[in-house]
Amino acid sequence: MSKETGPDEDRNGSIDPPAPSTLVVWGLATIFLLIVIGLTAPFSVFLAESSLATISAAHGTLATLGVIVGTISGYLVWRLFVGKIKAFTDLKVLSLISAIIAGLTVIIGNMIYIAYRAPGGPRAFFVQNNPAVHEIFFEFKEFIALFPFPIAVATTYIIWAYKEQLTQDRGLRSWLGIAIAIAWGALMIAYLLGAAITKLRSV
Amino acid sequence: MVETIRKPNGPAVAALLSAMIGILILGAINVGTEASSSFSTSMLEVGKVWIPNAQGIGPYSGKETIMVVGWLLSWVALHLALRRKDVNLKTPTAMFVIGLVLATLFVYTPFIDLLLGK
Repeated sequence: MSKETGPDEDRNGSIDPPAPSTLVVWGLATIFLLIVIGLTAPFSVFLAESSLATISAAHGTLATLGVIVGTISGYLVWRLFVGKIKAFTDLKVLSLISAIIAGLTVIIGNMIYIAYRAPGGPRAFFVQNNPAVHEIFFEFKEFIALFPFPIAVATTYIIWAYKEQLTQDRGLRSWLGIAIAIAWGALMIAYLLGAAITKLRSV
Repeated sequence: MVETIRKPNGPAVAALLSAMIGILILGAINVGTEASSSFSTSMLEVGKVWIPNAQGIGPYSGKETIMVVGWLLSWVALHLALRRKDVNLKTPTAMFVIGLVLATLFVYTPFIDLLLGK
């Protein structure tokens, strides 16, 4: 009789670390990074002088976290896609974190967008000095940044609802891989164009 | 040996297709606001209904709102329609990809200009 293996268990019988362990590692890594930031850069310099400095820093930090978490999730979905995933629990946790980050980034992005569109703000500057760049890249950024959130929520729902069945369902896991690849691509475009805006004319 | 009950894939299809529908609605509305200033104003009014400082965000606030409403309503409708069904995934996967490609074009200004003959 063959031994049953779940999605958290690979062919050699190794079991994924449980979700709480993953979260503890994440927490410790975050605290470590905050300590490094605190020791190496004064917080006021880190945030700059704008009245929207705190919100902008939160937006940029969340977007960066989204890229990191999204990239790791993308790799895990690739492993799922080829039927060789060993860390399904990690994928579950990271997909949920990705969806939350995507939502928060959009909400905070809305707050910054007010300053971006305000008279004398970055948008007015780009329209006056380089309208082509504004229309082709930065208008596009405003919308492509919304794409990852609904896709991340849908894929998270599927990963949590179907769990072990996904490893057996090639069609569904292929679609999941395509969806996460598209969301990751949209996220990267928004992230890079957002960084470009910040470098050229920040709020 | 543990037997697991296989879930139909309909709810998964509903979740992914509704995400695409919401995003495609966003794209279609964006083309609409580029084509008509009165429609653009009406999008701002939609955003003002619930988003704080929607005036500062402009018509984008209404576009976001309609996207979220369209996404969630279509998710509910598709979920109710497909929750007990097993669907051949080829067609919905193709619809998902084509829908997102169209949505991307609908938010890309050079394509909108081409579409509207500007």
